[in-house]
Amino acid sequence: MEAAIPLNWVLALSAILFSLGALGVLIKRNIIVMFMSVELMLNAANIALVAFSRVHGNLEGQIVVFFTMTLAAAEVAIGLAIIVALFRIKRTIDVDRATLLKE
Amino acid sequence: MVLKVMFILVALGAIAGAIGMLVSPNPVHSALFLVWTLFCVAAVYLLLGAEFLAVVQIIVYAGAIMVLFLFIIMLLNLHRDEFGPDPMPSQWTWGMIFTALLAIGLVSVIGAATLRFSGDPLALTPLPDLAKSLFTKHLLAFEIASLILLIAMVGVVVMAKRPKEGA
Repeated sequence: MEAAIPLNWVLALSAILFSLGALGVLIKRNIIVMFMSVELMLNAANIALVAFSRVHGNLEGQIVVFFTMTLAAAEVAIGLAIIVALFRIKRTIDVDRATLLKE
Repeated sequence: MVLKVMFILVALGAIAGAIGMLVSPNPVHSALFLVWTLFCVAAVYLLLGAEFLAVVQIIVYAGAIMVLFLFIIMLLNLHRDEFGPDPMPSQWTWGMIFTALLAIGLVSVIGAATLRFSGDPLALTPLPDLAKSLFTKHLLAFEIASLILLIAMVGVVVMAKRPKEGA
């Protein structure tokens, strides 16, 4: 019988991808790349959900991932519309220059 | 053994894509690296037996969502020189430190996990069961998700519309 993948490996991949996404949000100034990093973090959480769904032998985790993907699609559409609106006002997507509340 | 080797290859691919996304200065390259990472995540789903989610991941994420990202990047027509000198050079240092702490914390917690995969590791998710659960037990959530997509669509049209002249 084929040996199964250890659960720890899958969760470690999830943790590393989540950390890299968090790093992207912290160090990037381009709001579009920051947004992509948030998507990466969502995907990392989805990997953990699928892995636990498999461990517990039921489908609930996979259904949560299905809904997460639906919401991610809605979130990306709204987020990119906000970025376009911001670009129209400030002519930039540098988050350090988006200081409308400060001025 | 084959499954483990495949998982390691796919995982390394995903991590390499994520790092490439972070270090590339061009947003278009970042988006393409992320597409690669999302494909690798789809492969991880497949290795975990979630074949429906793997297909949805490729269609929705790598297909629709990333095309939207690339579309916006090209629509805004941004150039590298738009970003001046970094006002906060220490951002990188502190970002690295806190991310390393986060990664160490998460991985040490994971090391303590005692759960194991059971059953046939090559088994795929029975798709009829998934569909039955989705359309009976989770029907309300399914309908709410469709409503959220409708709201998002209307919201995008409202937000992206140019304000009327003189209004």
